[in-house]
Amino acid sequence: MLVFPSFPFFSSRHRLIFPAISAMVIMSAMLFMALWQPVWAHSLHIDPLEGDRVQVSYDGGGFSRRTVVTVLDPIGHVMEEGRLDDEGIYAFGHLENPHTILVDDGLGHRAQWIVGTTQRRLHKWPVVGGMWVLFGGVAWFFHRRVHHKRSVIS
Amino acid sequence: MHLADGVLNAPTIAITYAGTAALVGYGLKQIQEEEIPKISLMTGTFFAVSLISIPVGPSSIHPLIAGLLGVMLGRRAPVALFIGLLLQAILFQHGGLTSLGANTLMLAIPALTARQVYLRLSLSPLVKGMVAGALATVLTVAILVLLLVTSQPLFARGAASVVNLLIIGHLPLVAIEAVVTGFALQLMARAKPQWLEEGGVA
Repeated sequence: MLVFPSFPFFSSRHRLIFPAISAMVIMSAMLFMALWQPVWAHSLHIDPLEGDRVQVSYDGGGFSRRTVVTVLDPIGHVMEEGRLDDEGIYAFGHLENPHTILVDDGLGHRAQWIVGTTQRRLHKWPVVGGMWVLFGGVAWFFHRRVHHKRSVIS
Repeated sequence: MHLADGVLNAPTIAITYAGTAALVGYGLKQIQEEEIPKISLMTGTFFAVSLISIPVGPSSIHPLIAGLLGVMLGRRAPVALFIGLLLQAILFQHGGLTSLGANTLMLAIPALTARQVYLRLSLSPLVKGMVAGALATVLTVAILVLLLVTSQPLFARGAASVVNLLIIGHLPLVAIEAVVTGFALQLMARAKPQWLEEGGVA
């Protein structure tokens, strides 16, 4: 067992350390498993390839064979529907004037790409780090504010 | 698990947004300044943790920590969930804006339920936390299935239907959430028991 909640030979301080270490071990294991195959939660992406093809994948890699690709013309009519090949690629070069590529994996994830445009994606780690700083800053600000109020009252 | 835009039909979107508005409004009611640090930290934790993907076989799942949020924040949990999901949708297109109501509701109801179960069980924080974490995950998957089936009944057809895939694919997550929530709450109960009280401050 990782925790000893009432082991008689440990002081109350040690009883806190073991759960803390256990929680850190669990979270580290999760992060290790995630980083081993560095994927983020699965949103779908469409990456254009040479030769009027697109690569469809989840964030960090991989794709679902259930994914349906729909090609629309400039006025929104369906030109073609199909599935990805064994490498997650879909070719649409045989179509005349395709405008939009829609993908849907049937599990609640969708993506859209307008042919010829460039998609920009934010780098996740810096953004997550920045958001953490923001949320931490908000927490610190209100903590200090409350602390100051209590100091004034007392 | 987050639903993208275009998956749900209009009535489902409207109903889930109404439900989310009610829960978020209830969560904001009489909010105290002392609660904001804890809400902010838990929102950041949810934002970061739920973006992580854990490979499971050919697919992957991502942690929800709805149970942990529910026990820690109580009725403020929908506020944290809404903010976290909104930021994920805007920054990473993870989930969607039309499905934001559904995604929030999908996590908020299990979070609030987990909180009530945690308060009523007379067990150690570790066991109570594990029950809360597992229950929250099961409820989340159940609500997700309900939303998908009501929007497009074909999701439930066939042995290899989307519904079956979702249920089977998230079974490991139930175990992971139970363990993580249990240990996290045990730590909280020892280090900062006031954080687990209703409206407990940071």
